[in-house]
Amino acid sequence: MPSRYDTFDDMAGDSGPNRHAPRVFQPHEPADLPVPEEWPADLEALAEQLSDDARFLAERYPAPTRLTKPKSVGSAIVSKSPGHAIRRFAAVIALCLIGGASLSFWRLQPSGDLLPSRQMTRVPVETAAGATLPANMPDVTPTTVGFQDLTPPEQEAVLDLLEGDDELMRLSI
Amino acid sequence: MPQENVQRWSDAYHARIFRAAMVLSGNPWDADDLTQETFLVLAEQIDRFQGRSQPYTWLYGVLLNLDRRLRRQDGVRRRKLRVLWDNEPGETPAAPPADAPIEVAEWKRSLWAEVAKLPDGQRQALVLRFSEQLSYEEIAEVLECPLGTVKSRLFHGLASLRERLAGTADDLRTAPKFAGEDVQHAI
Repeated sequence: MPSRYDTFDDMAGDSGPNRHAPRVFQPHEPADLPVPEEWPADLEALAEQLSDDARFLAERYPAPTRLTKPKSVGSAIVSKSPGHAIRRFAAVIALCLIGGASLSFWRLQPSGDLLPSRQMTRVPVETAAGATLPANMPDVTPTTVGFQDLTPPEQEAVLDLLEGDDELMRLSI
Repeated sequence: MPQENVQRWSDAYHARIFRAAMVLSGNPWDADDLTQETFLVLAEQIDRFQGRSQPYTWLYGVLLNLDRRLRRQDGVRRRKLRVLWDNEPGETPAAPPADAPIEVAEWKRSLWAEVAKLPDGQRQALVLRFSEQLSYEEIAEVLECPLGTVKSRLFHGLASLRERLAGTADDLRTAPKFAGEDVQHAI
């Protein structure tokens, strides 16, 4: 097979395999250093020794077995569709919204304006010292709020969010 | 199609590239890293392969570039460690310093340990010829140099190696093993 480069000029403009690295070839390197046709016997012996050493190293340190991706990992990755992540994200958002709505509902409770049906009975609480707390003190007992307890605009917002889940999935596709 | 080539060439040339990397680096860990990086470059830059040469000559070219970069980084690191070591007051160490390169014993006993001290051009030509058994033309492809330069590098690389070995033989007869170690004390 003839070489692509018979002279230095032939190499101009050609690109190497790695764009980041400088060329091995140095322009100042003389190409016409005298090389005898027949190599001396000791150099031939050296060349032979180099080949033997390389062969020995290759046998002593063979190439490691290449790693392959386990099938279980691959199938696990495949089973997680993009829609799965979107659904989980929408569920988390909905839960946060419900939590926030319930918190705001609970804060508005002392004024009595937004309490629809479930009026809590206020009982004076006795402290350990026997003193009685005033009955008009804000109630700090946490209440659980279900969907039915939300105001109509909040219910509508939650429903819109849940319906938007499918829409999000369509958009992602 | 290019991605199929990546897989096919990885399967076909992995062992060859690792063998050359082992001879170049002197230890299987660096050799493995170099091999992995070579095929990473293949996967990322396969579009740059224009089919004018054999895939394995292209891969050898990538490997040699990566090896030269590794040696350059290694050299800078060792020089920094050497400066720190020399500035540290204390007794002469009785063992090789921590910045000594990691090489396996078999490689250090082989001629390739001496080849590693030659200039890059000669060293790479010798590896491609006598470890990888490439033809002169293939070496010219890999090193991107004229055919005459390949022959010159091989001949003068071997001649330099012969001189180094002769010098090493003299050193072994006269020099102590570590700095500060007196031959009489060793007896």
